[in-house]
Amino acid sequence: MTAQGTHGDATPLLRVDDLRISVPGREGPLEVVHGLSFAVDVGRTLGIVGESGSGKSMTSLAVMSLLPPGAAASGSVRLRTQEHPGGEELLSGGTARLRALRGDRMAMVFQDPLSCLNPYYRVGVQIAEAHRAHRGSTRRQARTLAVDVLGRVGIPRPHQRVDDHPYQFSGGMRQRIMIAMALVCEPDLLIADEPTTALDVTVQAQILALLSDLQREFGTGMIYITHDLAVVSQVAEEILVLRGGHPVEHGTAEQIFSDPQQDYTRELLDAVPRIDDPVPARGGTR
Amino acid sequence: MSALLQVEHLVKEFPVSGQGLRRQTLRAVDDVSFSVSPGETVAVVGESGSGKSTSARLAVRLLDVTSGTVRYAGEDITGLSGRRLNRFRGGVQVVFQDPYSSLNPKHTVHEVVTAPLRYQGRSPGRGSRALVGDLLERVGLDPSAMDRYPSQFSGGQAQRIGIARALAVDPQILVCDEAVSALDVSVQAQVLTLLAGLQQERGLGFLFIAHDLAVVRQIADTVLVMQHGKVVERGSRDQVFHDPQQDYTRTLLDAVPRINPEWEARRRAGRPTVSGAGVRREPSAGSTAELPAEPTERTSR
Amino acid sequence: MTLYLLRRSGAGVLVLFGITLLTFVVFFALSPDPAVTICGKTCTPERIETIRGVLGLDQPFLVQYGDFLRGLFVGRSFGVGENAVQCAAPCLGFSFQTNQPVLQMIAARIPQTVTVAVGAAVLWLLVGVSGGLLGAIKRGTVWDRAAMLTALGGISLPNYFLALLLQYVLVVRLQVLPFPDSSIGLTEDPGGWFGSYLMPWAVLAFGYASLYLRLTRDTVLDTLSENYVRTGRAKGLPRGLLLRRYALRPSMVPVVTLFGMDFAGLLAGALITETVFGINGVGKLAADSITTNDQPVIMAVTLLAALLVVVGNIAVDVFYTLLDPRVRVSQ
Repeated sequence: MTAQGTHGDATPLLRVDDLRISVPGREGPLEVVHGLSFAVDVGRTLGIVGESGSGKSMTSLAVMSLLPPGAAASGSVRLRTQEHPGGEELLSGGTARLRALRGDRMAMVFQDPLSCLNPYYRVGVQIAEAHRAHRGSTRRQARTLAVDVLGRVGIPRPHQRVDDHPYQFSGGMRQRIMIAMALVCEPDLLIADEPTTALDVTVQAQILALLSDLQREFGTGMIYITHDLAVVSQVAEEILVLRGGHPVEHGTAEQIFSDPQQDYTRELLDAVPRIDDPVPARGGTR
Repeated sequence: MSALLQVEHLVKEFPVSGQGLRRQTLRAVDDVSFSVSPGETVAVVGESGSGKSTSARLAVRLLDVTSGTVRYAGEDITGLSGRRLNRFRGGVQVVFQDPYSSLNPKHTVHEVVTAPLRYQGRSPGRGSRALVGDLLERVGLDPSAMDRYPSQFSGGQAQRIGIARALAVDPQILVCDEAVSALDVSVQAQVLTLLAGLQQERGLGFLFIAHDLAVVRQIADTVLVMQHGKVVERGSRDQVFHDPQQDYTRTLLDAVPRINPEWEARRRAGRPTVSGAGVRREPSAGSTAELPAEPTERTSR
Repeated sequence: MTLYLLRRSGAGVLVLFGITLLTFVVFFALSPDPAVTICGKTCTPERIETIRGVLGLDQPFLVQYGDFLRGLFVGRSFGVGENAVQCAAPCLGFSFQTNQPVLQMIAARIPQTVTVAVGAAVLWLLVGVSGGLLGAIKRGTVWDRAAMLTALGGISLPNYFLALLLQYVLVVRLQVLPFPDSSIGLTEDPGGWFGSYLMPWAVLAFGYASLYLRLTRDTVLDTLSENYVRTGRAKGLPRGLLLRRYALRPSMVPVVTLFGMDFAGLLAGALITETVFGINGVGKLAADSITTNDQPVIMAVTLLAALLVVVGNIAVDVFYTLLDPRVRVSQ
């Protein structure tokens, strides 16, 4: 039983049907994602889990219409917007319309915050950018907002730090800045692509808590992409498991973890190293 | 068994650029001591900046110490370099985190695996192909891999090549510097199983550096927790994981994300043959088993 | 920062000493006796001796060099007695050719050189940087290929060839431009002024713009593959803003660094271009003085060029820290 039925009749925030993505290959286009279908609701989190080569990052880029040049997507990606309460097709959207939606109604947080922040501009400027571009705020208004948002994501002394450059922050703080940038226009959909993979475990815990708090506050629908099953079990209510671009299993978190149907899912779960339950006593030569 | 590799009171300072005349130093490793005996796995865990990797590099003499001693088989090798470290290099080998950057991409796998022997003047000569073939089989690769290049293998396979390379000189101690951190979780489990198997067979001692506590828990006998260059807690695996003495250790353990135990229990209950978490006997061909050593394009994330 | 500037300036001064010494040595060792040249056709050995005495050419090398340095800092005199000529600091001597004070000669020609340099710089920056940016964005298209091909021409073509060609075509054959006359002031005859400088600007700019186009294009292409550009796109920023903040600004560092050096060098005079077009600037002065072996002038223009390069170097390094926020840390 999949979770798709639970979305009922109300239009979900994001609905993806039979998404296929191909990239240029040596002998013509190569399909790397083979027909994904899923949906995300307001205030809920969908976890997309897969190992390397599973196509999870490509999927997120396709939703944001940020695929690299040469890559093509087919199928349907519909985002519920004010102008189109029944869902707006993103794959055939015009450049201007997509640009208007990106950063405003849907936003993304990437894996490595150091390389994903522009080193030449102050963080305040980078946070304010999307708001100024989409809401037309003045420099002063946007700056005040940036200070406010920085405080919300837990950066101490935001009034001072708003004028600092990215290199002046630690990894965890940079990720908070990325989250601040993504949320400044209060988007309906947030896609987080391995946001904590590059972070220490204590920092990861803080960022996960932050994301969960912010989601509760803003009611954002989230797609959380990761290879870490333990993380996704804490973050997502619904999980989609990918392998080699194919959907393997799709269900609620509880279903996936307590009653996995597919061999691949089971073996993934078995492979996850545990910190709690009993391990064999250490033997071997001493 | 007495310790084979012993480090005492290691200190490593790095100069940090200060203003003009004031030269500041950073103490990356501050009074670290541990020892590794054959058949024992000593794990050093910590977050970034804790000094665990630097400590490992000091222990294998890839870095010079600022102060402290490194002893191998009783001999003080702290100040040695070049040829005089040969015996040590033949006894202690390293497996690094990223197999693609630690294996020379221009060398065939055969050259990669036999290189340490050649550098130590123990070239296997005509028996080298047989030797390499045996090693590759032992690490779970097809011997035909020896004529290919590392970039033609997946991450897990390339890491197996790195292990084969480390085993070529028949060392007694293997230092794994985040050796499984860059691998997919299913591959990670397989490599850990491989390492455990090798330890059983050959009585290898492991120095295992990692930031992932759950991984460490699978294979460690002794655990050292490092923070800011110092060892803040030290004990047997069970002690550290079940009865941590220090707040920092507790914080680290609490921060590790866990799968809902109730769900886990239900899953286990539904499958009677599951042999517990993580490491188990090497799989024959489950659906997560890696493709045998056919050349596969390195998959990108 | 002050410490840094002091250190660099100190090193710069040493470099200048070295260069003047080297030039002095070369002149001393290689050139024929200037006194003979000055003396001219109707010459007697006594007159040669007198000239040599006045100019101090009969002194040992180190004394001559010492006198030169002293003249630079405190001033010196040439000759003795009531015929002695005073030369206030910074004394660059008197031209062997025209007997004019060298300092004044150079000062009179600086405006023309600066005009050439600034005009060319504006032109080449505009064309080169925007061309490079365009080429990077439209990579692989016909615009990109055309730009790269033109740039190749600009780099390969010797500028004296282009200068002569332009002059021949535009002035002699088509007669759309007059022969350049650098004595026309901007205020008195703007049209003529512009017409005179147009060709030197074009010739210089063509060569430099080609280099800058390629540099900008390569740097922007590198920048576009950076992760933060993807973040900028993910924010749905308007195209112009993306180009400015995420493509151009990060790419400016190597361009500005190079520009500092190029411009400083150009201020010392574009020898060939000025000569071909008859622009009476420092470059032409340098070229003339070399052919006539006019030692004081040669020394002076060499010193000027070295000074500009040293100052340019330091300025560029300081500017670099302003350009790249990450560099400030290791100050």
